[in-house]
This record gives sequence, C-alpha cells and structure tokens, in this order.
Amino acid sequence: MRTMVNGIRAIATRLAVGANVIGTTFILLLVVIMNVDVVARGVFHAPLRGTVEVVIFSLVLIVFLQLPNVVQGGRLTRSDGFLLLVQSTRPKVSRLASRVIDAVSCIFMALITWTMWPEFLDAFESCSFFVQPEFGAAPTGSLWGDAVEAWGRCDYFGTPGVFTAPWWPAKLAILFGVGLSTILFFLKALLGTEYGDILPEPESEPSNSQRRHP
Amino acid sequence: MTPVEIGIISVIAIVALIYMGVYIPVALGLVSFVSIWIISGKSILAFNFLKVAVGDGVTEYSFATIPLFTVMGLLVSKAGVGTDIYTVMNRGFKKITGGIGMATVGANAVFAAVTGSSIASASVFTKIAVPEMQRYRYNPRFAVGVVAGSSVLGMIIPPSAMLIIYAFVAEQSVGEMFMAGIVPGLLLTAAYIVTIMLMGKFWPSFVGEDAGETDTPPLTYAELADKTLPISLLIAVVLGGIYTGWLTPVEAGAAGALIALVIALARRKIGLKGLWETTIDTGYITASILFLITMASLYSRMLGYADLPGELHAFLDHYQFGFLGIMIIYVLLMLFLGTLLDTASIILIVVPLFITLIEASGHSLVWFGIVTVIGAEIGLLTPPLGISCFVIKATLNDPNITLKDVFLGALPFAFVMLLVLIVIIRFPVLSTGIIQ
Repeated sequence: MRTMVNGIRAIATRLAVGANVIGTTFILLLVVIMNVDVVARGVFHAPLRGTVEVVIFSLVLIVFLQLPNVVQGGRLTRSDGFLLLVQSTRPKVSRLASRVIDAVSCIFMALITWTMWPEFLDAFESCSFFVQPEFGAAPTGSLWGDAVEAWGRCDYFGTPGVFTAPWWPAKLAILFGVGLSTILFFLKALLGTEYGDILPEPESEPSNSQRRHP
Repeated sequence: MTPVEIGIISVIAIVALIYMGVYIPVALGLVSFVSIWIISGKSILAFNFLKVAVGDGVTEYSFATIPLFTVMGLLVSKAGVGTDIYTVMNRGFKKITGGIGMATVGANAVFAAVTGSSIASASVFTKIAVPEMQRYRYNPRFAVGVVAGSSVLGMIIPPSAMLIIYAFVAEQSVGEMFMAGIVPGLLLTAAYIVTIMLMGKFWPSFVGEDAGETDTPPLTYAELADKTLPISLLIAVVLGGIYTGWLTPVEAGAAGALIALVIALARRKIGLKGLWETTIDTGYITASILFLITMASLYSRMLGYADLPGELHAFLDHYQFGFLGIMIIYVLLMLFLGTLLDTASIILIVVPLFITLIEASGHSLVWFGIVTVIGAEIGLLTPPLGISCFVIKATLNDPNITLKDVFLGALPFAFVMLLVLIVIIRFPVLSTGIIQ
C-alpha cells in the first residue's frame, strides 16, 4: 500500500514538474512574441497576426500547466498567520487543520475536474477525428489527410481569416491541471505533510517571501 | 432563508475560512459554489457557473500583464537596480537629519515604478537601508518603520499587481488604473518625506538622538549615469509607452521585461540558469494570481445572483448614510479586514459588494480603485497580519529587532497613509486628473 502511494506520488510530482517546464517555456515565448509584435508594428508597420489569440492561449497553458506545481509546492495563495500561531502553541491541531484544508481543497478540485471533463470531450469530439463527421466528407483512410481535415473542423477560438486555433488542446491543459491538482491535494491530505511543507520534488526551494503574495 | 441572507453568510464564511488558513481561491470558489447551489436549489446552475469561471476565467488578453510585469520586476531586482537608486538618493539627501530615511522613501518610489510588489520592495530595502541606518546610529524602530512604510509604494505607483487585480474585478482598463496611480503614489511619497523631516525636528528620539551624517562619497558623472540611465529608460518605455498610448499595458510589460533582461545580462547579474529560475518563479506567481482571480469571478457572480450588492445599496440608501457615510463605512471595513486578510483578498472580496453602489452614485470607478488599493494596503503595516512587516522581520534576521519593533516603527507611516487616503477621497481629481 505504502509503495503504491509512493509510486503515485513520484509520478504525480514528476508530471507536475514536467508541466511546469512547458508552462515556463510559454512565458518566455510570450515575452518574445509580444516584443516581435511591438517592433514589427512600430518599425515595419506590419503587426503580427493573431497575437491576441496566441497570448490568450499561452495564458491558459501557463496557468493550468503551472497549477499542479504550485499546489505541490504549497504556494497556492493563503493567509497563514492563524495557522502559524496555532503551530507554535498546539502543533498537533495545526497539522490536523492543514490536512483537513488539503482534503477540502481536494474535493473542490475534484468538482472542477468533474465539470471540465465533458468540456474537453465536446471540444475534442467537435473535430471528429477518424469518425464520420456530421457534415463533410467521410474519412478517406489516409491517416495524415484525415487528421488535417479533422483539425480544420475543430471548435476554434480566434477570428476566422486572421488566426484560429482549435480549442481542445487548451481544454486538455485545463483538465490536466485541475486533475493533477486534485491528486496532489489528495496525497497531501493522505500523507499529512507538515504545514507549509511540500511534497518532495527535485531542486525545489520554497521561498517564504513569495509564497503568499505576488 | 432568502438569497440575500445566504449571500451575507457566504461572505462571512469566506472571511472566516481565509483567516483560518484555507487557500484563498478554494475558500472563494467552494463557498460560492455551495451558495449558488442552495439559492437556486439545483446543482446544474452551480456546476455551470463553475465551468464558466474555470474555462473562460483566464481567457482575457490583459491578464498577460501579470506574468510580464512579474518577470520584469524580478529581473530588475536581480539586476541590482534598487541599490543603485538608493546610492544616488542617499547622496542627494546627505545633509539632512533623517536623510537616509528620506533617501529610502525616494528610492522606494522610483523602484516602485519598475516593480509591482510591496514584498519585493520590502525585502530589497531591508537588506540595503536598515544596516546602513543602524551604522549611523538611527533608532532601529525608525529604520524598519521607514522601510515598511515606503514598501507600500510598490503597490500604488504603477506598474502594480494590486492595480491590475482591481482593474479586473471592476472591469476597468489596466492602463487607466496605472495612470491614476501616479499622482497618489507621488503624494504619499511626499507625505512620507515631510513626515520624516518633521520627525527629525520635533521627535528626534524616534529618529535617533545621535543619528550622524552619512559619509557617502561623491559620485562621478559616469557612476551617476550608470546608476540612473537604465532605470530611467525602463520607466520611460513602460509608463511613457502606456501614457502616450503607443503601447498597451501588455506590450509595455513585454518591452519592460526585455529591457530588464538586457540590463541584468549586461551587468552579468544573471545567466541562463538565473533567467530560467526567474521565469519559473514568475510562473508560480502568475498561476496563483490568475487562479485566484478566476475564483473571485465566481464569487462576484454568486454575489450578483444573490443580489447582495443591490440590497446593500438599498440598505445604505434607506438609512440615508449619504456618500460621506458610505465612504467612512468602506474605509473602516477595509481597515478591519486588513487585520484579518491580505491585500488581494480584501480587494477581491469587498469591491464586488460596493461597485454597483459607487457606479450608481456617479463616481469614477478609477478613483474608487485607488481608494481601495491604498485602503487595503494600510493592512500591510498593521498587526497581526502586516505582511510587509513580516517580510522585513524575516529578511532582517536580527534578534535585537522584534516584530513588535517593526509594527511600532511602521505605525506612524500607517497613520500618514490614512491621512493621504482621506485627501484622495476628498479630492478625486488627484486620481482622475491625469486621465482626462
């Protein structure tokens, strides 16, 4: 039982760290794209197409790919004066309160995951990958050709003719983020990490100064 | 129970849960979810509200200001820009009693124009200014008080995370909020400097009886240029760009981040590894703030559904509090909440309750934002949860200066903040003038 929990924990933390790397890359991408756009517009009078859409898309990925790592590192915004106060006088009560809070948070994230699952399915099925779509030609059997066709059918965001992107990868990122956060909260409640403790992760350094506040 | 009663209970429950240490987005989201369920009597509506809040919560172009200004602020701190401004200011205020204090305030004001966080200001200036003031025999309470007091400038002078958060909650333009923050920020800076001057004259025991004149060596022109030009460029691009309308706040954030990176790289204060770590930190901060905002949007929808803002309006109207009365209640409420909650939570909880009322009374929501941010920021300085004070105590790591010293030192500055807040409430033009 213990080994299984530890196994899940190892996988969950690794996923959270991996997702964090992707999310972090998108922040750098955001800085680059915006600057290219400013220069292109200011100097060459030719703004990039679809900057707004790319920014929104990146925001979704940044937030929901980083969220599990934030949860794991105990960096989700909270005001911890009271818990710290209790910790110094009644450490057991403080530890129990922390576990209860993590359990409640787990339930809440599970509710969100529950509502986001059909959202993702709808967005994904709108493409009708590899099945007969409601409108348009039947699959031809050519794997690549069908995939390209299907990609064009997806529910999209953006402005047609300027820039569009299918919704489902963004919905998948949201589902992944809230789902993994549910699991991480569950582990925290189950294993009863000390208040402010983090689930182990390679090279993590929780800095007190930035945990609660922007 | 009527919807309004459920709404009132929810607000109280949220405040209590946050105080007990529940993650703020969870407290906001879960209580709102349950209230909507109870009020409507159907689960479907609650799930739908939740779905919309999470699915569409972050799909807003101007939210990109948060990661961009955060990355810029972190890079600027790493580049050592804070120390630079402080050195220059210190030279300028050399001959006056309490001069280092004024220099700290001035440097904080300039530093605030390139970072959006009081926490950053508090930790940077605790390391630079407090040891220096102790060296020249200033009263330790005064030293930490000045740093605590002036750290709040970080969140009033744009770019500021709190102004961005307010802009989202109140659906105002981030650019306008930034512009509106400039004059009140400078006013508070001036008020602090005058206060320190008066303290030096009439309350020397607080400043330090035998506080000596500093012996900062004069700066050469090359040093002066090296210390002031990079930050001037940054401020000119970011605030100038927004003010002239040449850059949107999002673009200004991106351009600022790039310039800050160039400065940090040119000074060899950061490498690839440092850049990556800074970006990861930015990611944590962005995800926390945006998830918080997402849940705050669910909360404000819940309030609207329970019609609590409308009822509050009717209630205050019925008892004829008048606008002055309402503002007094509002400020007192924020001061009270400031002893329980952090600044962002106060803004997110209180603003949706009052915004219908302010809008109906024909007052500017931009002005109301500045009032809210300053009012909520007073809580950074007051016990038991003055976060600026905690940061200073933690950064200082000196057993001779207790948390009590920090709070007592900050108290006069919290009082000055309150006075400035009253002036800003009385003269809305101070906030809105620069926009029109």
